[in-house]
Amino acid sequence: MKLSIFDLAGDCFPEDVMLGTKDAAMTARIKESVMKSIELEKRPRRRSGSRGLRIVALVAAIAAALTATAYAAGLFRMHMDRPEQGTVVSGTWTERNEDGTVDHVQTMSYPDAGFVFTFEAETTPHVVKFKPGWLPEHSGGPVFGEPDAEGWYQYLSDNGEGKDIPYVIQTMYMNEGKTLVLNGECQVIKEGTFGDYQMKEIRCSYYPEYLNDGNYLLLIDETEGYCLIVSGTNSMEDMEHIARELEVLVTDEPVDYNPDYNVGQINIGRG
Amino acid sequence: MNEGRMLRRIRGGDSEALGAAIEQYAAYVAAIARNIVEPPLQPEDVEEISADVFLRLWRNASDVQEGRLKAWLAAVTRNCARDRLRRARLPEPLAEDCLEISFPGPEDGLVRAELRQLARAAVESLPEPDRGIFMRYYYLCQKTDEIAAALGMNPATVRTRLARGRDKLRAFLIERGYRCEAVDF
Repeated sequence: MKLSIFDLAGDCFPEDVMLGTKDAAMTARIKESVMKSIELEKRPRRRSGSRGLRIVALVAAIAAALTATAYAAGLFRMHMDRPEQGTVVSGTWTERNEDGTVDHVQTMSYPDAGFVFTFEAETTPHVVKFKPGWLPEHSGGPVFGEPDAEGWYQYLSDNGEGKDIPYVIQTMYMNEGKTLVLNGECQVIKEGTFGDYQMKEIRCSYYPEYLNDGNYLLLIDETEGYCLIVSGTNSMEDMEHIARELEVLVTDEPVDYNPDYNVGQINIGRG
Repeated sequence: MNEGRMLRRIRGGDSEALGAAIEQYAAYVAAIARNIVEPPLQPEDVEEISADVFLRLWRNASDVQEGRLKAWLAAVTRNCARDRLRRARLPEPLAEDCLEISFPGPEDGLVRAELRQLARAAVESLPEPDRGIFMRYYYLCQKTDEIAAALGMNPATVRTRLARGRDKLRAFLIERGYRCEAVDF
């Protein structure tokens, strides 16, 4: 393999070198930009109207966010933490017989968790469906996900071939008690807002002979208690394009927490 | 404000403490970003990258160990600056300074991590000022002329000592079982 010495030197931090000349004007501009972003982040989220079928088109939401005036705090909270080195994230999957007695308890361990997601919830989230308005050119690999009678999906992926899984669109629900992991060497590369959503862009590396790097665009709604995940080995620009054109539906169907399955993973991957 | 107090206040949501961090480190962060992206990018890009770094500090202050703030800022600045170049589909700095490394067994993240540890050990074994020159060039991406000016040396001497550092790194890896060749030096 060809490695850049810049990469190899990634642990060679010169502690005693101080660079840069103080520039009051530049510092002021940087500070102003950062403080403006922080103020925007502090604004509470817009509350949805009545429960029922709510359709949020992201493109429309971007415009709406500019004029919205009614905000309220979220009913859910999503925590995204990086496990300490050497920590193995684990949970259990409990299989039951028809009469409810336990048949088998399987310990699920994730030694390569890059991020761990846990949740606080004041209420129950509801099933989220979506209609894609744009998708990358089909890879020729298998496509997973079936629309309902009205064309709404809960899951959709082009599973690609070889080291590529071009895209996977799915939803993570914020049920308290559940732990979800994103495996791999993961880095947050961008955070902010995306329309009416909080947004995180994450890049994860895997064994290169197994899978190319994965791009994850997380669209977080702590009012409704869900996080849409647009992910894949295609570029982050593709993930953003998919997300911009998604039409999202929050239904009335509750998603109850099932303690029998208290851990799971959200990463793309090949079984 | 000392670093520990600054970090604790940032973690607690005190934007004034973040402002103090920006006052203290903006020039440092901007200098590293500038070393990596200018040219081809512009001074405005450097300021955007710097702002992004401090926003990450605001959001991830709990990840920063007390006493390691400067190192954390430098590492995040490197990542943000490189990511900006990648997104603009521009060549990364020092891309020509590569080693072709081969070894028995599959390539994986562990191998890369080991290589980084070995590189660190190799660099730490360099005598001064070679060690400082290597770190300035390959970590902070300072140009050889700037390093020469900072250390009161001739730029040609800096380049010679950099070459010596690369040779040492290559020899260090070969001694530990890696086949290693310079590419485009």
